[in-house]
Amino acid sequence: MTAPRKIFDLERDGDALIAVPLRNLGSLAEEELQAELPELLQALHQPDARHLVLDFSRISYFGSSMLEAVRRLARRAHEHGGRTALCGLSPVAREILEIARFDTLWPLCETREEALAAVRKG
Amino acid sequence: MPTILVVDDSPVDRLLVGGLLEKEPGWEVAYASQGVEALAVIAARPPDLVLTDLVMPEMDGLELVSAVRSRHPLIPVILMTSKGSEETATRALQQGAASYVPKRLLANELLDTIHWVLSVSGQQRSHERLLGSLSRCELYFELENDRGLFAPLVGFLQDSLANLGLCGETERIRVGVALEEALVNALDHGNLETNSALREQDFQGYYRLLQERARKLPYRERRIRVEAQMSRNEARIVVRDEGPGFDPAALPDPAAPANLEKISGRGLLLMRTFMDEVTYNARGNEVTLVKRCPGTKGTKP
Repeated sequence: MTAPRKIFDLERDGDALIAVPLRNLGSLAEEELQAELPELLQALHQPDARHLVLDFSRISYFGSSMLEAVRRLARRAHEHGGRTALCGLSPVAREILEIARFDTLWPLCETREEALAAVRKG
Repeated sequence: MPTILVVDDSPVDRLLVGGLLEKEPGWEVAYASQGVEALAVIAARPPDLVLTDLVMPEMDGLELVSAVRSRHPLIPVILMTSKGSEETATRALQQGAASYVPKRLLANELLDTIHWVLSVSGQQRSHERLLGSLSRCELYFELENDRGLFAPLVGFLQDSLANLGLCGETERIRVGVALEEALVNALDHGNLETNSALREQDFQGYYRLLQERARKLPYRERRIRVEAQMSRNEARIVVRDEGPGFDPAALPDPAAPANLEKISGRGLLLMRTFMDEVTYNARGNEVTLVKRCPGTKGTKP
């Protein structure tokens, strides 16, 4: 039996956790997403990983389940004194975030470097 | 009369292969000495098949396979391989090459392989041409409460939109997102009667409840009905569940500053933004999603 594909790849850059969604995700994979979220939330619980960068460069779109995941993860980062930034967005992905007005909550950056600079700028 | 493009940097091999092909009555043979030149020839006069050497300077056969697959997906590519390049040939097949023939077996196997590949690609082209002639279709689905059916259904309807030429790739993605949201709403909030307030408080409890209800009566026997009427001007997709229905007007505006942190209503917001029209029936268990081709607002399918 094939193991279920991971939805997120996790990387570290100093005090920032970088979560990279690996596949296009509508609400269809919501249960898988919810099953994987605790691991990400736990990773943000570590004292040396304060900030969160969500890098969407590997996918072109997502649905409301990903919006909810972004909200939960950003809230956890905030609880631990960290900041959140999003980057690598396709036009449709950016549109989805703007429709939900998430662009008013967290910066939407072009590149990962810009997102890392944004969370560290304070 | 099929045209075959032979790509090989060795003049001797080009001559050898060309000699074999030109024996076939009705076949026309064109030549290129490397990958970039081959792409220019294909762009100027698309052949019916590309036969390429695997090892070439500048652009090798593997790169040529990828380029042809991406720019001319209906033109099959056959590779000619040398001893020791079987592993690379396997990679070429994974990248979309139609077949490969070892160079030492060209005299015995090349013609049969080309005949077979031309036959298959001819059928594919006819299929594509037929689908490109589709002008209108109506589809009806009755789905069990199985989330695993949603992705194939969305993909099937997106393919149908592509065949009809109703909208481009970006619009098809938008329709797909909207349709996914409608299907998940029909299952979770319609047939299984869960609400977002519970998900807000206890998301694990929310998913446990979904699983429990999917096994219990009356929830488990409910169905989701999807009706799609699609033409070159408009797609009208109706998603109906068998739950008690809800009042969409009662949902908070998820984009209002006070509600940005809440879960409710984002799916419906995406549906309303990505479709030209989203309407619910009076009971609130049936949503109609409409997408129109630009410039045909208000026309019937």
